Amino acid sequence: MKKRRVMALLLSTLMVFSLAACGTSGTSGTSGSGGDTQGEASETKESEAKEEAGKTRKITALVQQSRNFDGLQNMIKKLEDEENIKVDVQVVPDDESLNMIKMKLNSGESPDIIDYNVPAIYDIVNPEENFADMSNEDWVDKLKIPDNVTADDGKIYGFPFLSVPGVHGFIYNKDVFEECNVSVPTTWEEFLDVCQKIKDSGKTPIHMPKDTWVPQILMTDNFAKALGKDAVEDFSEKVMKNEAKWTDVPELAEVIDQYLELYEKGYINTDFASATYDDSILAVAEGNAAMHFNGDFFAASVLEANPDANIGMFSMSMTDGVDVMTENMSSAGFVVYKNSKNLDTVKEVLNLWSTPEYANLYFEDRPAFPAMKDVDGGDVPEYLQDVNEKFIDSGKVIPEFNYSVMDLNSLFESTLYVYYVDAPAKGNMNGQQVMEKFQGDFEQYMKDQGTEGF
Amino acid sequence: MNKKLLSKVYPMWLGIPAGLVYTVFFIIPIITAFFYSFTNWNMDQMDSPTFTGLTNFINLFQDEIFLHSLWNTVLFAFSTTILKTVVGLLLALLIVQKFRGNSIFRTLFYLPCVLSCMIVGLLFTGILKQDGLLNKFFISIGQPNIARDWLGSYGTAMFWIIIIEVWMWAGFTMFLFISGLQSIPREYYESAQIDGASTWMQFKKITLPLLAPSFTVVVTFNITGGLKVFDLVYSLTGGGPGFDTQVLSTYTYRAFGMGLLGKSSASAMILSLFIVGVTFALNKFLRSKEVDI
Repeated sequence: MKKRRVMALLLSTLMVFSLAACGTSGTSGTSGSGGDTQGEASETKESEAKEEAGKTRKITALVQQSRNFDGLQNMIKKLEDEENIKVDVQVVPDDESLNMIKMKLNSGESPDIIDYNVPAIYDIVNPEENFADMSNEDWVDKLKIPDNVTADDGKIYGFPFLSVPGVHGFIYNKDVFEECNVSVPTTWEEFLDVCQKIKDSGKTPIHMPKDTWVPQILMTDNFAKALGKDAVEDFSEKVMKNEAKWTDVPELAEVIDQYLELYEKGYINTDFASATYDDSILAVAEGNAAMHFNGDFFAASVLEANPDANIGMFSMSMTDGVDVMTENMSSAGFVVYKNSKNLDTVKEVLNLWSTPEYANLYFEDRPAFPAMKDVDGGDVPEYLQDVNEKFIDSGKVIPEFNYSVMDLNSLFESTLYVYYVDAPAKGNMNGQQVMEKFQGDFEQYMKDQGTEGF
Repeated sequence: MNKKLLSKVYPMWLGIPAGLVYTVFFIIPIITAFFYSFTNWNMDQMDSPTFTGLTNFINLFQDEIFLHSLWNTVLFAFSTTILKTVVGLLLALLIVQKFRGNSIFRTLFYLPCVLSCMIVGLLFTGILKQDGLLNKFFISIGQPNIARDWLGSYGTAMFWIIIIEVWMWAGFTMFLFISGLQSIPREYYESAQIDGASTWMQFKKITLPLLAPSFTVVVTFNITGGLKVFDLVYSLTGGGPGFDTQVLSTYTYRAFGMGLLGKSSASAMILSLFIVGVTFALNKFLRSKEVDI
């Protein structure tokens, strides 16, 4: 009898723990506070005291999961500790954030501040109708490059964090390159040779996860490189009016064919249809894979996983003779809901965030190029300095292809990006067939959206 | 007369709070979804949906991914129901026997279903991935040929989704059967034993027929649950590789994610009608098989 009781107690404790674990996982990320219990207790007391002294002001924010960095959380915590302003953060999955933003804006229930790419959001949501004009705020004078976030109507609606938003390229583990006795390639031919040599040495040349937003970066990068900036603009304008088809431009299909070739030759990890993004970070960090194609933030994540990793970054074009890098164009940042009831508090918050006292926190763990003057972006890692010298400073950057068709983001995510993973997994489509299939989805989507001309 | 009327009306008043909650959270959403499924309502035109008749439904039935999702949903619902019923019944028959540690096993079998589906998804992703526990096990016993990317191809991914669902819920089914088994009077078995009936005969002629009400509950529960499946598929494969393991709920979610609210309403409507149809038909059939004690 006693034994049974003990057993029952044990099992119920186990159950409680499993449920408790579930509870914490659900709320993690929404608040930045950490540390020991004692510290938390004294913090609560402190904030209680403050609440008595002056009324706590509250604002609401919507933040994408992948960008809920410790730095941002520290900025929010500092506001609460020093200014008695509480930021109620709703963390949302990246894939869903855009629709959530649109829905909340359309239904008039938007949070006070919204995290998205600035100025990309201006092309997706009408800024004049939805966002508060920030042009006359104090922080605007501190912007290093105001043009970066100025809308077509000459007004500034967004608060950016970075002056140099991400660039795309191959992030590679230098030690693995050395081990396999290869050097950074300059042409696509050379690149394939390098992959072959790495494969022969028993390592994975390129690591790709199943997360569909990752492999597509190789395409948005190379579509832009193959066509060039002007042709991209021309094509995207026509295609959105149904004056051109996705199948009309052979370069697009060719890029996909070259991408598929990497799989056919065995240069990509075999579990690409089930590996996760975190697996990619680890694979490069631990040197099991040599390369990964992504934005430069990937390198920061690799270094977070393994601070001793020897990481570099290089640009690679599938089209020979094109020596440029593609740029994300938009910085992580915030826009402010036009009808916010807390507009004054929000403006105060953004002014505070533009000061080094706050903004430095943002860059503490992830050094980069800050958008505001006087802010310390930290020691920018070597790979980013190289890229900065070779490409950004010398003006050899062009916008990524997707930048010109931002409206199609959600369609891309649920069709084309999936085909990029599906085609190599099943081997049933080449570049032309992928584009034909997507053209069908595109026409249907535009009809469903009620777009003129379709 | 007045008293009589009062006693008739009064109970109805008590039903109002429940009726109100049910109306607000169930009936109104269904009616609005029904209405919107005939429109081209989408995220960019939140205020101005236009009536498009059956277009959404026609488009859906022309979409091969939708048809594949429908097939996956049916495959998942029926195979998990059969497996959960068989495994749950076997477990129940074992557990109702008196043996040491009986209550421990009871708890252990039930335990998986208290876990959140997302956690189970994460857990099994770790087990089934290329360098996961399962493949490491096969390699350690010298069978590296069996090791594969389990969630990377349709057959194995669908297989594991079904197996994990059964692992999670067989314990719950077991409990439903245990309560059914315990309600069968012992005298029937005693008199059958006196008449010389074998254990198999007792099972076939007494246990099975008298368990029929439990079967009705178990099958109805599992079929409706199976047709509605979302979280397990979402957390394990996200409907992938490609669209291979997409089910109706994840398809609806995908359409919603693209901002196509009308289309996703139509897809949700088809799923609801399908569930209601299947459940009613099954319930009617199973009820006809029940016998009274």
